[in-house]
Amino acid sequence: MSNNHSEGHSHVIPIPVYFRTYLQLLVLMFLTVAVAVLAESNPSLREMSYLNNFVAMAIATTKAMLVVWIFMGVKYSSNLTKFYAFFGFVWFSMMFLVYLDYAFRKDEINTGWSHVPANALPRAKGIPGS
Amino acid sequence: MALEATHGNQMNPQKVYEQFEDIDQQNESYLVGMWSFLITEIMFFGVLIFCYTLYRWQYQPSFYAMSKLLDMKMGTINTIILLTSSFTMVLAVHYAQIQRRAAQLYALLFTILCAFGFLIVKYFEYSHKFHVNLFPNPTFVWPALDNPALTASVPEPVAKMFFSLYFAMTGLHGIHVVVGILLLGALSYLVWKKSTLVEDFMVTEMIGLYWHFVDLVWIFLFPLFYLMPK
Amino acid sequence: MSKTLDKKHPNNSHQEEVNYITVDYTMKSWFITKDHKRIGMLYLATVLVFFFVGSVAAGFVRFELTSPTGQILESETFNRMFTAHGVVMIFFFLLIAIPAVLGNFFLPLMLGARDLAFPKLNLLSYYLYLGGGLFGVVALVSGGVDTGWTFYTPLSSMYSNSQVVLTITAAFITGFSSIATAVNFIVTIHKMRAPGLTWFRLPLFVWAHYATSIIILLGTPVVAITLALVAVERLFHIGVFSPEYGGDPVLFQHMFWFYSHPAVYIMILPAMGVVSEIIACFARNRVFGYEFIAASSLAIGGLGFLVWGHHMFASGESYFQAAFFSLMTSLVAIPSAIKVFNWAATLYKGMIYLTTPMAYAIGFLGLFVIGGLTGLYCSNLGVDVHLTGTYFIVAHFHYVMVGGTIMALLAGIHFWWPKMTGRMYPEIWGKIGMLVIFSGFHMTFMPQFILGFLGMPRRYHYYHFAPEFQAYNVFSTAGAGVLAIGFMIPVVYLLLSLKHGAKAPANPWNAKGLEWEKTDRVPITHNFREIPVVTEEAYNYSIDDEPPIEAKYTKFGAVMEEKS
Repeated sequence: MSNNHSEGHSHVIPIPVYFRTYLQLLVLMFLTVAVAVLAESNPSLREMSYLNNFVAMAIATTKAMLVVWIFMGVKYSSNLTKFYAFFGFVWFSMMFLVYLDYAFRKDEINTGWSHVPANALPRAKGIPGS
Repeated sequence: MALEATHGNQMNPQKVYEQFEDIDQQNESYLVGMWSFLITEIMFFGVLIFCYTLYRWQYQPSFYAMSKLLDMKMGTINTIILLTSSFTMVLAVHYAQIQRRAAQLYALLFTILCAFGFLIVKYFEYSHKFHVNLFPNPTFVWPALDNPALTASVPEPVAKMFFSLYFAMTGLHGIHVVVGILLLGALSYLVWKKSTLVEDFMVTEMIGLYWHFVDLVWIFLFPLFYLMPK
Repeated sequence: MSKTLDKKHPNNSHQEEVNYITVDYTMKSWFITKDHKRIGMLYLATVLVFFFVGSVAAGFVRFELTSPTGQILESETFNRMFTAHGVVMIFFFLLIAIPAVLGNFFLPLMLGARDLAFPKLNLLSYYLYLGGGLFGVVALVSGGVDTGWTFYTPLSSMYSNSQVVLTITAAFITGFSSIATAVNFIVTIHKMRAPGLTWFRLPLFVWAHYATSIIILLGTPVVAITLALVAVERLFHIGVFSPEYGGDPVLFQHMFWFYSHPAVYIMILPAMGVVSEIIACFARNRVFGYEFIAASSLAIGGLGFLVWGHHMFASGESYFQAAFFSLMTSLVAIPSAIKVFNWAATLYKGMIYLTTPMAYAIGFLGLFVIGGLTGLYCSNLGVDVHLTGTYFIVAHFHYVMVGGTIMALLAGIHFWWPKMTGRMYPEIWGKIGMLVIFSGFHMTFMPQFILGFLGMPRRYHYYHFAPEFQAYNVFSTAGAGVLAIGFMIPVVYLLLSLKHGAKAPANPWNAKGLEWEKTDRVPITHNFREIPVVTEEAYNYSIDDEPPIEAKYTKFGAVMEEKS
């Protein structure tokens, strides 16, 4: 049990800290929009526009970290709360094990799902088989 | 044990419920409880985000063309609105902590206003999609009416998949916004009525955590749908 | 835990002692209670109702299979019956039974807490469960579902013409009930332990429930949203798994089993916790390798999330992933085996008292070992291709989940019955009931192993292509009858014991643990008269401890002599 939480009430964080974070978030948002627009509009950058993906996700993650860390007050809370705050995000990555399946489908005899002819898919909401 | 013990700090009367020893334990229990609930929310949206990544990986060129059908301006406006609402939400928590009820109430009301603003923008987006028959039910018209040249190369099933994901993810997020409005509305009402239930700032803090989570989801949905063309 | 027993309550006194039951007799006080013990009892009553419903459905299924030509039910009805059996038993009984009944009741008692961290949330979780159950019942009476409890797409999303949406709503709501319980348990275990109760002094029951809660937290939302996507596909044509839209139905299976495999650990881990308590108590021995059992609970919880692909070996997942999941599945056997060996080592050189709870616990070991070992066959890629979709799988998971969970639930209920109700059950009937259930279980499911190996597919309502299966099927159905009688026995004598049972002392088994040593005969509303301080390890038993109370005191109407 982490009881090194000395005072009885949680920390009252001064408004300027929040406001600074808010400004940072806005700046990051405009940055990511600007990069996306640039990547789209400038033909000379078209080749490299895949980088936009990395930029967008990196900025989104940074923004998320800011929100979790400052707005949600994880920075000022106990280790236990910190653990639970990040546990979910870490565990979510476990789901990407599913790519073990799809990444190796191309080696299969029957590659499956993307090659089903459309006429093999009757949509019978009412009576089965109709 | 102190059934009605109040916290020593005069400024901050927090009732300690009978199952807890002291206010520290109670506050931290609330925090851990709320965060473990938010873990379930992460996994909840996680499934949809995962499905999105998988289909995007499979149908990359089509998804590239499809994302042009979404209005980046609307998405940006909504992001600004939600970030602002998050800011006013932390203000509400701040004022709740220092017992300034009027300021807390205004901050909460502004947050609710932002939430409605978000929904209104969303309404315009959705109604446009319905109007040009992009909802993936039998009324779906393809290539898209408002941009046939761009979308001619995209197969209809994939287009339906894209809009399935779009409506599922933003829809679920929208439901969370509506729940947030209800929670914030109830909280504001109680603050307005000076109810003893909300003297404890932890109530505001918990609803704040929820609201920030809603913001957090949008922070990821925004680039996934509006910004990442390739 | 070194203080003397609380013996100030004479067994025969006519003046009423105040405890969580006698504090208020009104119906209202039960239905708006925030007391975790009362909520546990409400859960107990409700899960038994669902158990009965699920059993009736199982009875129809077994009855139909006595004839190779399937003469009793229509094939449609048969599909609805086995689905009803699966949905009710899994979503409304097995996932709920031990955590919500025994966990709710005993977790705070074992932790030395006055209540769970969030009593109102606990009550809400009960009503969510009840609401979900109500949806489930409505779905059943308004036609039922024919997709099997797994709701595989595209059968469930496109073709099925039954109450899929209602049933999914029921499962969804019940899922949130589980989540509420899990949040409560996690916070309680982290924050509300009594002074001196360090992590490695916790009873293994608590460790098991901690691991279970983590699994519920991480898994339940995944299945909830996956099933919700099936529902929105039916309702609004938002088809994330729809092959019509270029989607992959196997993705549904991935997402479904991402939860539903860990779900079997939600069922079995609390059962293991119960068994650890009982074996230590009645072997009068410290649990051998306490740390290993505790860690293996967490290991099962963690590894349990990395094995879901073994449900899909024959569903078209890639060979590479199949090999990976085959390996991981075999690895789960390690922490499970650690537990079994440690229980066996606990029995070794112990002073074994074969009371009813102990008999059930040993029975659990028997069923779990058979179920676990046959699970290893199924984890093997080559073997599984032959066994997938046959009765071998049916028998395997009934041995593990059902055998394990029900034996442990009954063991726990018998073990803690004196604490829950203040009455003793008749020991002799307890043992008879155990024997009938145990043998009925083997009669029912052992022939199914053979049937499955011979190739009888599950979910078929006739087998006229292979009439030689009839003998096994009839035997299995007869076993189900024995099982049904077996379940009646404890229900009858436990209910009778509420009125006629001998009054139990505070600690009839001379067991260790806060819930036995520091509470009244029947706990008061806030559990402890003063918050206990823990100064010793869990399971501080020695073979010289006093024995459990003698069997003669546990007959109906027996009166205990005051000891010392």
